[in-house]
Amino acid sequence: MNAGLRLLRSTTPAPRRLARVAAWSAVECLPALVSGVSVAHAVDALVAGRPSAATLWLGAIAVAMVVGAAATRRLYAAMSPLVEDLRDGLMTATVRGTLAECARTGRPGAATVTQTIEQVDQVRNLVSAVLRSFRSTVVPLATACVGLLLLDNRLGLAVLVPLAAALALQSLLVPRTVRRQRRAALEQEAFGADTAAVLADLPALRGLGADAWGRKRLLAGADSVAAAELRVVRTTALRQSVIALGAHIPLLSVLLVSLPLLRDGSLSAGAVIGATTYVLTVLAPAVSSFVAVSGGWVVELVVLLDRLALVAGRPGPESRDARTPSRPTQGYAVELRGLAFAYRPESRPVLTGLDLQVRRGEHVAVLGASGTGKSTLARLVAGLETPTGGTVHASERLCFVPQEAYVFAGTLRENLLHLAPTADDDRLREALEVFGLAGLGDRLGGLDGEIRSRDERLTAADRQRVVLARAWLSPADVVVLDEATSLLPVGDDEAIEAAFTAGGRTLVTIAHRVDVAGRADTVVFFDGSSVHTGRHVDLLDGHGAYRDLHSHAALYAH
Amino acid sequence: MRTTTWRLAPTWALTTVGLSVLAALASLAVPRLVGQALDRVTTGGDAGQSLVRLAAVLVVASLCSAGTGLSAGTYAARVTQRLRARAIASVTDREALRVTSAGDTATRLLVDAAQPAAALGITISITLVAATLVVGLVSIALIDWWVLVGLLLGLVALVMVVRRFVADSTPSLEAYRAGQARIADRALDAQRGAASIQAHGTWLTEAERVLTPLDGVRAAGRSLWALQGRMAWRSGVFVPAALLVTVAIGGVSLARGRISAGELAALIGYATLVIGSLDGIEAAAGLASVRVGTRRLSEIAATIASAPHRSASPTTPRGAVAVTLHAASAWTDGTDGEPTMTDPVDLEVRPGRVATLEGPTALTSAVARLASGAATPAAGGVLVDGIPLRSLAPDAHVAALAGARPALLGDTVAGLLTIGLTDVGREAVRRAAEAAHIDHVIEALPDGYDTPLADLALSGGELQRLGIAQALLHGSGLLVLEEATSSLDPATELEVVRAVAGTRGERTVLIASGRPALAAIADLSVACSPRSPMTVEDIEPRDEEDLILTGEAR
Ligand SMILES: Nc1ncnc2c1ncn2[C@@H]1O[C@H](COP(=O)(O)OP(=O)(O)OP(=O)(O)O)[C@@H](O)[C@H]1O
Ligand SMILES: [Mg+2]
Repeated sequence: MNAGLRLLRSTTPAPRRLARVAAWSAVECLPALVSGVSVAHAVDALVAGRPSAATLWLGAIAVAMVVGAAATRRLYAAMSPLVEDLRDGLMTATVRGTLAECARTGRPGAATVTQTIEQVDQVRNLVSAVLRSFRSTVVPLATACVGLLLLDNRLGLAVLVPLAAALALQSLLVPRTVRRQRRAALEQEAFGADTAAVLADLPALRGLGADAWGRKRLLAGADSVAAAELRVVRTTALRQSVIALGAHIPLLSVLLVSLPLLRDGSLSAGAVIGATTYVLTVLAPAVSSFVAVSGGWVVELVVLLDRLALVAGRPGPESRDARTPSRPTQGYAVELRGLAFAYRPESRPVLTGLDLQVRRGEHVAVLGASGTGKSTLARLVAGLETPTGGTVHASERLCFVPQEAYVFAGTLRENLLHLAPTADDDRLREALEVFGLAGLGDRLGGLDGEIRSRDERLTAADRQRVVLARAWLSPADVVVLDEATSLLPVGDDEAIEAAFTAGGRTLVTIAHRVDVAGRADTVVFFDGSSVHTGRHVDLLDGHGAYRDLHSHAALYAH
Repeated sequence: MRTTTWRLAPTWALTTVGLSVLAALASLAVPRLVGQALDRVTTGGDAGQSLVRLAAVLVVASLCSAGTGLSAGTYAARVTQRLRARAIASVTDREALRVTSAGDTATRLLVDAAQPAAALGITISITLVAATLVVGLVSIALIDWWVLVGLLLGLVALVMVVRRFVADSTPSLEAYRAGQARIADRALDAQRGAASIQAHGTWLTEAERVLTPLDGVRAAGRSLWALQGRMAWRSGVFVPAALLVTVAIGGVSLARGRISAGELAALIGYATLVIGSLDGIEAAAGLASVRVGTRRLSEIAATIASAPHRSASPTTPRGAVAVTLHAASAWTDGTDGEPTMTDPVDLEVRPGRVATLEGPTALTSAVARLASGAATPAAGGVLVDGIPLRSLAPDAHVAALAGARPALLGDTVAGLLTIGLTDVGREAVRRAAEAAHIDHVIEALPDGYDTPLADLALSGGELQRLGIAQALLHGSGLLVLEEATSSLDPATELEVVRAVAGTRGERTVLIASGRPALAAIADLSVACSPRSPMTVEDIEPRDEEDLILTGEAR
């Protein structure tokens, strides 16, 4: 709960704004406070034949009402920035938290982001509802208590004692509601995560003929959400007992207490009438609103903020990357010394004592079967994994392009400028040309054409081209490509490598197409048990498995 | 849809209405009973009986309110559940023409589906407001007609203010929702690109990019507040005006001797009652949300539109199937986001053959999706062993597609491989994994086949092999590989495709991949070209070397 409150506090800057909201709420209640007195006086004056006095009293109500209405408008104006800032703050914090986790783990994580965004909006609505409820809860409750005590303190006590009991009962009931509400929120989240995951994989599920499984899973989720909501609904029945205690009992007790007092003459009939009016018209509605607000909205708010704090508080990647701080020796782009790595202490090490020096402007090809550790090496060079032994020195301006081609909803321009925000249009057009994206650009309607989320107009190859162009535009002087051309026509590889190396960049390509080896200056070959480095021709001469790889591929190509 | 929402849970709707009315009546009776009790108390009479009556009515009011809360809550939960069930059914409809943008559909399922249920409560409170209005107005009319006329004019003005608000706020509300959905979409995209975001260290700028639509959301939110404030002000000014009119007209009537002072007091009382009940009108603002939610929910069914369902075929083909496409075309998203049809393709592959699909990617991909049943034919026919593929029972699992990425759903690795299947033994799972050359990788995981998906971290090629194993288990008669080996090295790819081709005794295999090399393993390669007559082009019989490499004779 503390985390939730802290989150709320950090996203809602000025307490002064809250004070403004409270002040306007109080002014808003003005007509309600003066109307009773004024109407009574006006009627008295009319009956007594003093129409001008009556008019004055009624005029007072009218003025109070206009002031109240103006206050309502100002209240909305005061709440607007408060609530919208709160929403913006929460949205920013939670989206950041979600992406921080992505950046730390490199994996998508739970697909609850849709839910989180919805929860942020719920918080917005709840906060505005709670703030709006000041005028129907706090203000009239206070007014009624003060009014009753002023009227007659014995009648006042007759009301205050059951009222206090009601508030105590409410504070006992709230934690239970919070628990059930929390469970409902968890169900909601699980359903949201399932929905996102199943919808994202729906094409794949269709391909497997397992879409019925997805449907069943979602339907089951919707059912458990409903069941949890019903458990929350059941707690509302108990709330009515608080209303009975806080609003109905006082009515009866006022009447009961006044019986002997009236008889012994220590209480006037007017005071009794006044007290019952207060209880009926001010206290009772205020108690019901208060119970509804504190047992419903506030509970939901507490639970939601708690959940959101969890998302917002997710840690980002450690700022220091895993590379050894000092840069490579002059003239080199990457230097690995005795590099060893295993994902888990108990699992087979992926690398054991790898030495490699890559000169600036060199083209290195990394070859090897699936699962031998090529991507792992790339991640180590990019500083995304911490070596279990040895050191990694690599140029600061290094761009690593992972196996998944990340193209996001937005314009083609935004996608291309992702790593080079300052590149100009000429350069962008050059990139379109070099990477064969002109056709896609036309199909999308130019650089400012929108790419939608999971846009079917982009083939997997198009996505690779976009990602390659992005890396090419980036200011990096070392580019590491992990399977970045796997879906492009075979002939395109060479031109793409040339485009990267032309500017004197260092290029490391991980590829399954072995012909890249012939064009590379150095080859790193993972044969499954060890890693061999050298020039292509030397490896061909000296290494049987490497020779096999190439003869195999030649045979396989035709 | 709005008019029929209540029919989703009619009993609870009626109970809610009935109890609300009872509760309202009971609370209306309270002031009268309090008055009676007061009379007794102040005149020193025996108040016992009237106090008991008051207490009884209060108990009834409490019970009815509690009941209303219960039944209204139950109604909302049930209606939302049923609306979601309907929407889920259309989203996951086998015959659906397209898959809509994931984030947005999720928002509709989660958020918008919860809106329509609120309509009942809002309608009830508006009706109660109306009833109070009628009671108050009739009482006023009985005392003085002219006061009624004055008040009614004011009421008409108020209704116009409220209607205007609902109309004005709808566009802002829609802009607000749409902006939120865009953020959700972008965030989901970004999550999918987690590896890149990590690699580039761009998570902060990514967060900024994901949040760009927030400005629009904020603007829409501010305009909603402004509209609400304006409505509050207009209706707030109306109240004193109406009250003054009442008193002024009543005062004139009093001066002319048409009514008594007591009647004037009553008039003012009723006018206050009428005006006070108008506070409940604010609930009408909720109707705008209900309207937007209802519309966005019904759009799911409209945009996803499904093809007519066919009657199920009584027989299910066993073993390898013959695949036939007759002028078949698939739906794809066109440039403007509307579904468009691919060029129609004819195709015929005999049972137990391994065929590569050659041609433009758009076509081979369409054929792959059509033949595997992943896509609904937009036109033409897709047949397996002469039976329309779409008419097979959903659990027939005759054809399956392995794409570039597997469906990563389920609880464990074994669960992922057999997703949606029943009664698949561990042995069968292991065989499929062996054929896809992934068995040894799974065995090396911390808990082998029972490793939870959350702990699964595999290389790109390993994931693809997992996808092939998954598809092998799901396609008993036909396996379609669409770019399913794109992340594999040639040696592994050859091994895997050969092993898969080795199951041609059990199933037909179609391969759509840009790699000409795979044609060497296939029995034939089929050119996918639009509208051409059937183009089956058997490759020349393979030479000895191929046979040796394949390890089996044809
Ligand atoms: N996050 C991880 N946790 C544990 N093991 C992992 C993780 N990522 C990869 N592995 C394992 O480490 C080994 C090397 O994986 P890596 O991704 O480097 O292979 P690769 O050579 O890139 O293969 P591919 O060609 O299939 O992409 C594999 O056996 C893989 O299962
Ligand atoms: Mg890899």
